[in-house]
Amino acid sequence: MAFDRVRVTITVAGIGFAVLLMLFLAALYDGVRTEANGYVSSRPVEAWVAQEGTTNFIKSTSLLSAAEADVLAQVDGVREVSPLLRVITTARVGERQVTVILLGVDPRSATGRPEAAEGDMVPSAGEIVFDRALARQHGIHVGDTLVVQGRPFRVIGLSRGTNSVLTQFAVVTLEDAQLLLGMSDMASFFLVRGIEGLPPEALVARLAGQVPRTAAFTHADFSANNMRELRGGLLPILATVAVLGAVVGLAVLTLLLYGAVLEQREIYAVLKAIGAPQQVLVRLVLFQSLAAAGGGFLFGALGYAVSAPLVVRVVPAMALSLSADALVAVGLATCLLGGLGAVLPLRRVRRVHPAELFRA
Amino acid sequence: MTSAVAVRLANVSRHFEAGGGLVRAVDGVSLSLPRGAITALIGPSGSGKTTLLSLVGGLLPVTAGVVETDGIDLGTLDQAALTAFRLHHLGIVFQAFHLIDALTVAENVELPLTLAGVRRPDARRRALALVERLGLAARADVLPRVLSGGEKQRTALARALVLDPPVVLADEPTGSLDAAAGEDVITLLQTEATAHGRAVIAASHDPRLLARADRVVAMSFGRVV
Ligand SMILES: Nc1ncnc2c1ncn2[C@@H]1O[C@H](COP(=O)(O)OP(=O)(O)O)[C@@H](O)[C@H]1O
Ligand SMILES: [Mg+2]
Repeated sequence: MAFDRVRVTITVAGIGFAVLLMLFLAALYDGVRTEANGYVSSRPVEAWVAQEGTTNFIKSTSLLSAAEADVLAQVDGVREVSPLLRVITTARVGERQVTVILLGVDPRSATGRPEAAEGDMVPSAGEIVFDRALARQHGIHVGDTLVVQGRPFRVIGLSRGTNSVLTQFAVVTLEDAQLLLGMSDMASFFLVRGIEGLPPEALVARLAGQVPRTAAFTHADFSANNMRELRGGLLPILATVAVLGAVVGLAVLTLLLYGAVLEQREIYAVLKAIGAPQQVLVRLVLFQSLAAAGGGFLFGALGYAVSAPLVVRVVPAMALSLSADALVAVGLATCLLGGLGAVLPLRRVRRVHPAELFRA
Repeated sequence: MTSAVAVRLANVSRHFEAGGGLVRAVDGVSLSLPRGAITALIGPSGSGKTTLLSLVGGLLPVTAGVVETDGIDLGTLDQAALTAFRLHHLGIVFQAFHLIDALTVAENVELPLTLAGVRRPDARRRALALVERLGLAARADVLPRVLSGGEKQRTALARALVLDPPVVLADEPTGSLDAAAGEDVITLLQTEATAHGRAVIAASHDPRLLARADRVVAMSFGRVV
C-alpha cells in the first residue's frame, strides 16, 4: 500500500526510542541483579550472622560486638568467623566529595575480600580498595590518595561486584573502619565458614542463639534477601518508567497509523465497496502496525548495541547487562504495542463509508 | 430461480438529516429493472440518482421500503452479509475510478478474486484474460497513474466484472472521460448487458448513454417521473 516515507521513519524512530528506553531499563535491572548483589552473593562462606531484626546487607543497621566472633568460633562445626563492619562515609578526592560504603574486613581472611579488577585486594592500615566504576567516574587510579574524615588512604586496587548503582563499596581494614566510626570492637556482620561436609542449614542451626540478639542465615538465604531488597526498591521505579516509555511509543504508533488510515481512507472505502470482509481490513491495519513495531524493535535494539557502551563509558556506575530473556521480553512488549497501536486506527477504518466513493 | 427482474424496489425512501432539515434524497420509489439491459438513470444534479444506486448496492440502508437485488432482500442482511453480497453479486463503477494507486492494472483487477479466495495463479490468469478482453493487455503491469482516463475506467470496469456479477452499477461512468473514451466505455457496458446478460444500471447525464440505453428512468426530487 501507499506508505509515506517520512511518516514511516518517524513511526519507526518513535517506537525505536521507546524500545531503546525499555532495553536500557531492562539492562539496568539485570545489571543491578548481577552487579549490585555481586559482593554479597560471591562471599566464600556458608553462613552470615547479623543483629536480630536484620535480614539483608544493603538496607539495615546491624551492630554487633566484634569480640563475639570468638564465641561463635568455638561453636562446633565452625571453621572460621570474620567480622565485617559497614560504615557509610564521604571520601574527598581533590575537591570532590564521594559518598561510599566502607567495608572494614579482616585482611587475613579471604571471606571479605572483593573480586579484583585491578591491583591488590588486601588492604593494610591506611590502604583502600575502591570500586572500579566509582573510580572511573571520579578519575581515581591505583596509587592515588583519598582523604576520609581527615585520614589519608592510598588506593591499592580496584574491585568489581561492588557497585550497587546508587552507592558503591570500598574496602579497608576492620581496624581502620572502626577508627573512622569512632567505636572499636564494632562489627556489622560475621562471615562464617563451616567445616567440610556440614550443610549450611545445620551450621545455621548451631549458630542460632549462641550470642544473644543475633540471627544466623545461610549464605543462600541472606544473598536472596539482599537481592529482594535491591530489586524491591528498584523494580517499581524501572517498571514505571518502562511503562511510560511504552505508552509514549504506543501514542506515536497510534497517531501515525491513524494519520495513515485517514490518508488511505479511499483504499479502505474501495475495499469495502467491492466486498472486502472485515478481517481483510483488520489484517491490513494490523500488518502495518506490526511492521512498524518490528522496525521499531530493530531500530531500538541496534540503538542499544551502539549506545550502551557509550553510556557505560560516560556513567561508569551504570551497571548494564542485557540478558536474552530481557531482550525477548521487550520484543514481546513491542509486539503487544503493535497490536494495541492498531486499535484506534481500526475503529477509524470501521467508520470509513464506501458510499463516500460516489462523491467525485 | 433467476427471474428476468434483477432489481426490484418497493416504495423505497432514503432520507438524510442535513442542516436541521430533512432531505428526501429518494422518496417512495418503486421500480423493476431487467437483466440483459442497460438502464439509464437520469435527472438533474441532486435528484437522488447516486443515492438510489447506493441503496441498490447495499452501500446505504433504506429509510423505508424494500430493495431486492439479484433476488436478495438487502434489508435482511447484516454488514458482513452485505459485504459478501457486494463481492459476489455486484460490480460497481465510479465516476472517479477509485483504482488503488499502489497496485498495477492487473493487480487491481485481481483484487476481488483474491477477496473471493481464488488462488494466485488462477486469479492472475482470470484477471489477465479480462484485461485483454477490455483492450488493456499492453497495460497490465503498469500503475494506474500512467493510464489515460479511458484506460482507468476500463480497468475499473474490469475490476467490477471479474467475478462475473449479475448486476453492474455505474455512477456517471463517462463523467470524467473525453468523448472518444466515453464512447468506448458505453460500448463496453452495452456488451456486458447484452452479451453477458447483466443488469447494467448507469446514472448519467451523457446523451450518448441515454441514446443506447434499453430503458430510461428519470428522477426529480427523489421521485421517479
Ligand atoms: N450523506 C448525505 N447526507 C446528507 N445529504 C445527502 C447525502 N447524500 C446525498 N444527500 C442529498 O440527497 C440529495 C440527492 O443526492 P444524490 O443522490 O447525490 O443526487 P444525484 O446523484 O442525483 O446528484 C441531494 O440533495 C444531496 O445533497
Ligand atoms: Mg450523483
